[in-house]
Amino acid sequence: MAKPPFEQDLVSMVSSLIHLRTIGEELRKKPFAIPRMEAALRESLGAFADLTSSFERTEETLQREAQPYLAQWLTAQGLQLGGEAVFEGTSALGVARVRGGLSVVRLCPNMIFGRRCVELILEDATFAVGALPGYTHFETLGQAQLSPVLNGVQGVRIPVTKDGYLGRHLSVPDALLDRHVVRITLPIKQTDIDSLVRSSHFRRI
Amino acid sequence: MATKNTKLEATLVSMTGTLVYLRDLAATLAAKPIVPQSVTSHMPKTAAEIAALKLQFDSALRVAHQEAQPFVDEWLRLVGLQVGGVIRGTMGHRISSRTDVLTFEGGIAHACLHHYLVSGVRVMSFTLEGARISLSDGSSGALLSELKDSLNRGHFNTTAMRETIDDDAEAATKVRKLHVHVPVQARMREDWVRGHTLQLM
Repeated sequence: MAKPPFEQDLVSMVSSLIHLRTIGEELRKKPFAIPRMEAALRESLGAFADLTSSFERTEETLQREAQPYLAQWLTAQGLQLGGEAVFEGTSALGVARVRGGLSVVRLCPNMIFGRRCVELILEDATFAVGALPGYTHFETLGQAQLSPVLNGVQGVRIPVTKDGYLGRHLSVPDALLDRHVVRITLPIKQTDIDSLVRSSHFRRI
Repeated sequence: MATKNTKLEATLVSMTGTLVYLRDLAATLAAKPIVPQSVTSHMPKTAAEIAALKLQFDSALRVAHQEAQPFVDEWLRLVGLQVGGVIRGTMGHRISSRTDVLTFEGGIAHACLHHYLVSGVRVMSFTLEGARISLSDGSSGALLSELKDSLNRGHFNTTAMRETIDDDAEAATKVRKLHVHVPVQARMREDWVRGHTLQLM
């Protein structure tokens, strides 16, 4: 099957974002003047601060202009913003699932295992373990039971596969736990998603 | 003549660091198209903002140079050079028994902190006007590029000299300009004298 054109466009867009992010972070990292010089360099420091905020604004513009292409990608995955999404992860410890409302799709600013990715945000996320049908909140089940579907949990032995994807696709931002928000990272390319599904480690259901 | 002021040197070293750093980031930004050609038409706003970012780097550099100016002026006074004045010196290279020497002289059109390190050294860049370069083989000219053949034949050390091709906004053409680099720190100026890189006269 031919690759859809939006796939290469999204890969290019993520490359742009990573490139911008690299320079922007470098800019944020560096104190431009030693403290003694701050008074003499007031205007320069102002110009540097403006430059930093321009980088942030440019990143946001890039994310906005990528939205139509991300929407095509979602459609190809059978997902849509505002709809419900369910993902399942499998490890030696069993099977776990997460379910939630898909509220955000963005370009992922980091490479994950050398692959350019898309980030999904699920709100009001609930989880299920094994064959049990009921979905409940993260706190009820806990990290250990949910490890098959969670991002690299410490102390849990996970068989490493050659594509290294296992359990790395779902993370729960600490600050957002109480709002039951989870972030899912998926590779852009269909061939990468297919290999994930084939290995049955992580898939949309 | 006092040619050493440690605090001023430290200030200029710090400012050069900032300029070099900004310049590096600007170069990274310009090195390859941030938005690949294939998607530029899909993202006109992003492309416009990136173009604006490049201009913003230029203006940040300009402001930094402006604010560095009083410190540069103080340094020029200490070193005994001034814009509108004359700079002259020699650059030599000793290869076995042979010594090839370049002598230069020119009016100082402009002096500013340089945003690149030259052989790892922070330098002040002097833009010359009406420059004259003479080589020990008897040839002479106004620019390094005019003396290419002689320079290639000999063993001249031109580390402290650089020729640029700049836009001339008024004439809408390119102009070649000759620059001489002088280390900001007295210690490095002495080092360059010992290494025959630059001896001011």
